[in-house]
Amino acid sequence: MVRVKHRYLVATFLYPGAPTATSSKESLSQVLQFNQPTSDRLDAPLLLKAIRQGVAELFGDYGAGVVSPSLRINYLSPATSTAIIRTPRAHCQLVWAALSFMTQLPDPIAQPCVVRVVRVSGTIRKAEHEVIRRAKVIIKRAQE
Amino acid sequence: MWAPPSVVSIPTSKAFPNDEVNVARFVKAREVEVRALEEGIRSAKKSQMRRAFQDVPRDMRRRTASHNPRRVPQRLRNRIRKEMKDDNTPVASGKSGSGVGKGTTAWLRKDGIKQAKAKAKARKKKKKDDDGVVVTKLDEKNEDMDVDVEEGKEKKDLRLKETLLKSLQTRKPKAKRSTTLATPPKPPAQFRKRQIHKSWLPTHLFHTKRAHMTPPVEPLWRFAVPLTPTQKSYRPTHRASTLRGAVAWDMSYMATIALEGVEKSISGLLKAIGVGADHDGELWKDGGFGKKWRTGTRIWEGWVFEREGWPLKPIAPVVVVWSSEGKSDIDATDPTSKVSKTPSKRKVFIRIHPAGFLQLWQEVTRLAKVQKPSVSVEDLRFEIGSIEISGPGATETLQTALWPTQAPNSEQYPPDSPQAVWKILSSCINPGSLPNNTLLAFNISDPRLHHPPRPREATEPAASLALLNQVISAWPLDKTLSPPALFDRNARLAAQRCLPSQQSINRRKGAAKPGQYPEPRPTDPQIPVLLYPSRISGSWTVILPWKCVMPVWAAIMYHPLSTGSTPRFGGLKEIRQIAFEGSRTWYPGDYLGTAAGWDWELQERAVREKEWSKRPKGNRVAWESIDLGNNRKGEIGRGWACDWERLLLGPPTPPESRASKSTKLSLPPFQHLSSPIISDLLSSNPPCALRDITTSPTLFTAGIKLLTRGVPVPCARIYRLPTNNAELRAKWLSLVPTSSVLYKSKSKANRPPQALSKDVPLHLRRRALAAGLLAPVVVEKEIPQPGDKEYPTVPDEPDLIGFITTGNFNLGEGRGTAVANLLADRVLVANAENKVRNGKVQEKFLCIVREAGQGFGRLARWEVV
Repeated sequence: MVRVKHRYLVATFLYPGAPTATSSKESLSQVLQFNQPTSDRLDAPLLLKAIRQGVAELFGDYGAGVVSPSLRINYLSPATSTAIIRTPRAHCQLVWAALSFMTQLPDPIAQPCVVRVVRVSGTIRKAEHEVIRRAKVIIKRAQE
Repeated sequence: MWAPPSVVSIPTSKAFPNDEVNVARFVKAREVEVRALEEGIRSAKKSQMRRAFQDVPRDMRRRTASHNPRRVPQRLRNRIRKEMKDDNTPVASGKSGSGVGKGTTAWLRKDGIKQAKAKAKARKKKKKDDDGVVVTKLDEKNEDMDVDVEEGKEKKDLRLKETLLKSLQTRKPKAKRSTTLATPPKPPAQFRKRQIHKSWLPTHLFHTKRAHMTPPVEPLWRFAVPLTPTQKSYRPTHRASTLRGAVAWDMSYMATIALEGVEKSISGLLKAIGVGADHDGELWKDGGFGKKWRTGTRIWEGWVFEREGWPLKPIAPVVVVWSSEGKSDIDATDPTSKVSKTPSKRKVFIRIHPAGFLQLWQEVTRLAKVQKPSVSVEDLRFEIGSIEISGPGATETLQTALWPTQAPNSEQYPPDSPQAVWKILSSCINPGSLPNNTLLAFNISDPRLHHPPRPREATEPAASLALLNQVISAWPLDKTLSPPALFDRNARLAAQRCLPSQQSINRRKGAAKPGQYPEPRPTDPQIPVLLYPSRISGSWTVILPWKCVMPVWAAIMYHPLSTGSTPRFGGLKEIRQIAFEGSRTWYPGDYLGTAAGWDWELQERAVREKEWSKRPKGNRVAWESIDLGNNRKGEIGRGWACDWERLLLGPPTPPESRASKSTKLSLPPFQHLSSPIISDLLSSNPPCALRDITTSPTLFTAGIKLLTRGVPVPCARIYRLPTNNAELRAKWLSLVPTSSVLYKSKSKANRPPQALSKDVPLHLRRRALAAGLLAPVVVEKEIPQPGDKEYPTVPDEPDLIGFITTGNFNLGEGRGTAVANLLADRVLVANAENKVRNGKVQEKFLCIVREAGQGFGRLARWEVV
């Protein structure tokens, strides 16, 4: 059987600029503000729906048809605003574009954010390694 | 469908309760994420279905392991059996091996096995039913019986030794009048039929299971020589010999000639065959290295020539060892010897490669009769074997394998003796750091008695190094080396005959205390051993009696190195590879001027022609259609060979048809010039011609390094710079790579763009970068490449000077190097002309190398090797 190959996009949700909904006495450092946690209401089905809508808006029926079979959220952590999204290998750029064009979290939440794709990998193992590496780097930066 | 286990992620409400975002919680959330992901990766790996044969190291993996559990290392066998049972995989059983048979034979064999198993089962059942007593441990009675058997054997061994000693005392050895070539020992009946036209090395059974051997009908030098290990070992051998580990070879096919006689006659004989003929006979002077060598504390490595053939007719490189003088047992105990009146007899070993053995033997036997008093010559080819081991772990391996026998009366050896020095050398990693050409000789105990090896206690590195340095600088063995027992035939035979069987050794090991080696006994063989390090190749050579090679080989092969793994073994290909990587030549392949070298070349030629002709026409190189430029078509001579005849005789004149091959010369058409002589000739001022020394064609060995690109290959053609065509010569010279070519070029367009300095403001630098990216500056390559129109063509045939004998990518140097044989007179003519023209230094020693099937050549530099 021919092997169906995928690409795994590691995406982070960044919050530049606007202050958080919570009020805190100290002003947060920039690192913490950028990488603040996402609301719990963002779960895998909601994000999936948002991506599909985005692809359909940008690339029409063709885009939606070609991307949807293998589209899947492998890992989503609202606490750290990180996600690993699986896409078909030939059309990962469509999903990437849809993510880049997202200006806010999907509708019930509607918080302005920036989705940044940090790494594209052919195996989920390497994508997980990248997430681990980034987490370690950010821990160091946050502690400074 | 199987889905990978998902990674758990914490919701934000748990990680940040009350929506507080602070550094501590932030960091904690990330840490939890990291741990969860790592756990996910681990569980994914475990849950992946991985069969046992996929967990086998790379060099043990086999395609057939999935059906036969025996083809997998022992530690995984149980797992594979379980997996195969779970999977219902059919187990392949008993289809390979000798005696398995097909059809009726196979059925009968299987039936026989079934019956034997049934019988064994019935016997066991009967035993159980008969006596209810279960024997759990050896009774005292049984132990005594064992000891009796041992004692009986011991007595027998003692008696054997006594008779040998007696024979020493009653019979004086006679000088042999007729010297005959040695015959190999009679092999066991099972293997006799395969050793009629060749003989096996003592470690043959080890090598056949692990290496490609010479084909049964085409042995090399009448020995079954291992050619290369079955596993891929080019890079591992390179690493083991230079970086970490060790490589060992069984060199028992090296021939040994023993000379016995008065020192004067032996010296006369050795001088006649050209030992020490160079360096103005310094070897024979009274003092210095020569004196040490003649007293037996040093070995001499060098070339040996035909009678009155120095310096142009070499036979082979040899190692000559004198046995040091000392009071031998015979003279001490035999009152009737006339030792006091006549000068004592000395013994000498000459070790030579089997390719040159016969020629040397004929010379030596003829010369021995001529000496007054005559020298007795003995052929010790099947009495003495040797092992060579090289690499950083070589000394460590030998320390484990060679244990000196205990001193009599259980004393300690004096600190000057070879045994004590050997112990101190354990911290020496590089045998090249020892004094040049030293040797050690002592008796060792059977290595099987102290196998398996135990990890050695760590000694203080500083103290042991200090001691080592002391020993190396003082080298006490110069004064205390006693005559090596290896020279004594009785000692060799006694060692071989007293070797206990593996069964008795196992019994002794079983009887010893747990964790202890068996006690040494007086009947244990005292194996005489001679070992010397080689500075050039960084290796140790161990010489021992033929039958004692296998136990020592096993101890070497199974020694656990401190750097991990065990020593590797090598074949002929690995010897050539290591010599090549160390920029050394290999006898006989690189010495066309010797008879053995010429034979080797003819052999290789036949092999290559066969390989070429067996390929279909579309898949092989077409020698006739190679375009050499300037309307020259066709390869020079035979493309698959180093066509030396063509070099000598030139292109065939028209009347001769191309089909008739040039006369196959069985005698070597060339002579060989040794490296010091050719170096002298090249550097002498005014340049002297070869005509002063000889008129027949001579070759010398040269090392080749390509200047720009390319990897030299065997049989490549080598040309000197064109002598007739000044224009072509200038073109070739312009290819010599010097950085001045580009930077000094007058046209600005050709100069590479200079990097802007840091003083230039950022925006200007950015502008330059953008401009560079949008319209990259193309630097016209002034140096033409092969395939361009300007690339110079290959010189004509009169400028052909030689061929490459060994060439490859040199892992030690990181570029392609080669060893070639060049025709001396053409090279000297070119050299003289160069001097006349006052050519620049960089023009010296340039040559053009063209692979046999290619149309273009590459510039290279050669030097005498």
